[in-house]
Amino acid sequence: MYYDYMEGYMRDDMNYVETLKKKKPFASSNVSDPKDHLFPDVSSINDNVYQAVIDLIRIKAQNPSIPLAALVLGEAGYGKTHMINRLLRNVNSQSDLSYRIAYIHPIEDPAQTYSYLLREIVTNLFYPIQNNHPATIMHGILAEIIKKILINATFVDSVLKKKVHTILQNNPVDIFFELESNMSLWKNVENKLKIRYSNICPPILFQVLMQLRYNDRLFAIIEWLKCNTLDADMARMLHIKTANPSSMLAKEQSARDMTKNLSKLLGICNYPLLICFDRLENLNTDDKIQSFGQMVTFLVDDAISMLPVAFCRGDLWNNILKNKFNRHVSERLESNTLEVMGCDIDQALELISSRLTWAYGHSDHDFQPFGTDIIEKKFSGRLRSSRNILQKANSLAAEYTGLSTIKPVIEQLKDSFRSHYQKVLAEFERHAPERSRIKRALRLFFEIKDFSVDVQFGDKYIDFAFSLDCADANDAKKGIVIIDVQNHHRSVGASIKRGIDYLNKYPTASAFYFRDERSLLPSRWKSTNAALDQFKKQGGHVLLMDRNESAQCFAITLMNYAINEGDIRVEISQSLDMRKATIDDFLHFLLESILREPFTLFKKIADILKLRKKIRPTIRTAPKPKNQTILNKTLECLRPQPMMMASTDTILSYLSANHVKTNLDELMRLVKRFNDRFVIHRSKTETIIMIIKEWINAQP
Amino acid sequence: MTNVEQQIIKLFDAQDKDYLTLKTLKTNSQIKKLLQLTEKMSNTEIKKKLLPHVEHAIKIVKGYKGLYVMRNISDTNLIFNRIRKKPCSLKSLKVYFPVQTKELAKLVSQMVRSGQLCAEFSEKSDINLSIHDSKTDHDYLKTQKESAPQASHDRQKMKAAYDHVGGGRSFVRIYAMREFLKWSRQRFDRALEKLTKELAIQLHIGDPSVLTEKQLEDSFVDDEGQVCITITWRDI
Repeated sequence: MYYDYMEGYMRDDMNYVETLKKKKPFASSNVSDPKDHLFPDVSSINDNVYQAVIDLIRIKAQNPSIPLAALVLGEAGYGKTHMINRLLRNVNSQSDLSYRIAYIHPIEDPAQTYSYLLREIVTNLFYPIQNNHPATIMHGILAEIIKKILINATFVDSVLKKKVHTILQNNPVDIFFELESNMSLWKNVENKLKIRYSNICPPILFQVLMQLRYNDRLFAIIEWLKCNTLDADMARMLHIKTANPSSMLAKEQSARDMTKNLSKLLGICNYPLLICFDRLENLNTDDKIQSFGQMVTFLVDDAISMLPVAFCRGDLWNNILKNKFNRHVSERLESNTLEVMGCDIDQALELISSRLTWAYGHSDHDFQPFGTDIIEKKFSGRLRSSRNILQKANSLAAEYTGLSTIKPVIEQLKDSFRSHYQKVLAEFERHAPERSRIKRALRLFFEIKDFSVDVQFGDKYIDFAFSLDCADANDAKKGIVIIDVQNHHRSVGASIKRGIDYLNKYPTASAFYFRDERSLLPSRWKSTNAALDQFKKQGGHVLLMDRNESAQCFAITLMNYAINEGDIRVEISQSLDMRKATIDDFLHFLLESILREPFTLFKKIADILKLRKKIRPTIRTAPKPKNQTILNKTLECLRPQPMMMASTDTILSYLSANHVKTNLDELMRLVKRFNDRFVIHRSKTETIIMIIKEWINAQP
Repeated sequence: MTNVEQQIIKLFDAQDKDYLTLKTLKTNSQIKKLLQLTEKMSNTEIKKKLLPHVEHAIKIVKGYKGLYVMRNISDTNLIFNRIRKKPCSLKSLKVYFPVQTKELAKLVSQMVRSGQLCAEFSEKSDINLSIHDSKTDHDYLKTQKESAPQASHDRQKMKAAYDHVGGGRSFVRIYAMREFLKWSRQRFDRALEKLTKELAIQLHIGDPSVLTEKQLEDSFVDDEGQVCITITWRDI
């Protein structure tokens, strides 16, 4: 009997370990995408912050024109993005409150502040409500407004009345898909909306939005809402007047007006829209910071039913960003400052328990195979970020499962990239061609390939110029990059003309014209197509980005944002200690991988420019004796230093005093290569090298 | 104390050190000016310039890396202070130390024999040195004696520094608090560790790239080896 019990117990223990091995419940410790809902939410963690945001939303729902904003502060890993994730999970969980969320990526082009804000809001409003259903959030908002009209309307046809009421009762968005062909019903609804809300929204807004029932018009509607200039066919399809491309200033004004109109539409159905600005670390120029400030001021003062909330690292806000904003921006945001906090032991236990419950499929696990004592001992004694808890739990799990083989940093970044790339591909339709994001990815490519990049070159149609000086003048290269996302023949023609003009002036240079394959030039644009042919004849390169290539660009940019935020961490020791992946790691990963699969777009550019691949060893070999000496002496120099770190100058003087000949480049190359031993901190004034914990006493 | 001695002692205090290489003096603009030092001067030339200003606060000695200027304290006290700040191996201690290796080994052996230092062999055959719990200098004894009231006193002072430096905001930089309090490194770190254990504060890693090397040095490395640059007070 005793043996049976013991055998059963051991079998259970083995099962737990096997499940840990298979499901890896602690492997993911960051919410890089707020729409990820894979792991259970632990509601007790930062519940006060969540409740405070919900209270603000409630105030906004009751009084849409009240000026409100909020600021959520917390260091990397404390759950800022997770807070957005929780708010997204619970959009309909409150019986008396419904809200929607727009997640705004950091702005890249400050000249397009309001156009960018509008594009991001519209993109968010057209996310599907649920998988396998064509309805988007915008369908849902419209359905609520239509419901107000139809619920009390008189119907001649009693069968229609019954059908309409059933739809409105069960799932109002179905009205767009089950009654799309009933012309008279839609005409009536449209007229009534125009009359009832004539002093709130312009009639044309209802006229266009009522056409959401036609799936083939969705693209044109989205483009119109984003204030992009529509070509004649699209305008005709929506029964609106064609317009010529407008100046940037006029476009910015239109974007402000459209955002205000959308906010009023949200006000009609009492759906506050939470505008979440995340990853503010990427506001790396004063222009971008001012641009963000303008967005906040505009949303607070002019857009009813929209509630801007900024999520920012505490030190960054208090010591850097805050000082760069006008006082009225920081005061607006700081009027509701909330702080995400670390977890105490009870919350740590709850977090680990929830992941184990997710993995085992039941909550009766009693922290097996670890046991409560071990977990309590490991996590008590201080407040910890949820990321730190999950990482420590992961390293503890590795002791049981034996899965502690550490991958090189570059391989871990490859995995991270793959995950970003797959996510973009999985929801590709949500990633409309966005010039600034494609530009960031292309710029990164040229910069890691040692090109100088000039973003000020030319006018608004040219994204940047690049050049590479070489000792052999024949190898020198220069050119321009044009990324075109316009859908009006005049704008497209103007972009191509810049390319032709450039090639006329510099016949030996290269000109690249990038366009998303989703918006191919229609054959009826005869003169535009002729200009494109002329561009090609003069040696211009037209690169139409397919689905995979566009997704590569988006994934690189999103990963770059995450790296800047400190959201991507890499394992650095057998005990699964982790550190933030640095921008140097990221650039190294790109340099090593960008000419390989799946980066076909960059391979094409490299082939056109005849770039030779830099050969670098991909597998780390044992250091050569000289390098070994440099590494040993560097460790020797750092160990007695305060905090075991020193500037590269100090290390180089030490090496020189010890008769080790080297230079800064060689030292940095070695330190980067042996990144399991050293961490590089780029301080304000110097580059600082620090020993990683594992190597404090270890011998090389 | 001469004017030069005063400046050098100030430099020691600012860096929480008892000694510096002579060459380091060239990096301090005031000392450089007082002694009329130039960038190209050798150690011997600096020594010549410094000697007339040496009375009783400092002394010039020969150590691991040539000439050093140090506080006028005994070599035993120098070793003791160094180990108290950061226990280390004999191998690490000798690097940059202002006592020549042969003499250092002799002094350390004496201190181990007399019980002033603890020596333990590591698995890598290194000798790790630390301070014996019961042996300590005047400052440490005082701390021990007044341990409980001092801790509570330190907590209040830390909170006051947090409020003052942060100006009522959270995520206060550790180096700025250290600068404000001007405590010894050991006292400040101990107070920070204690508050962390009591869950009164939360340490944050933050982004070290926004700090200078000196500011980073004056931040804090937690027990998991992470450089923490800010704290938030959670004691409600």
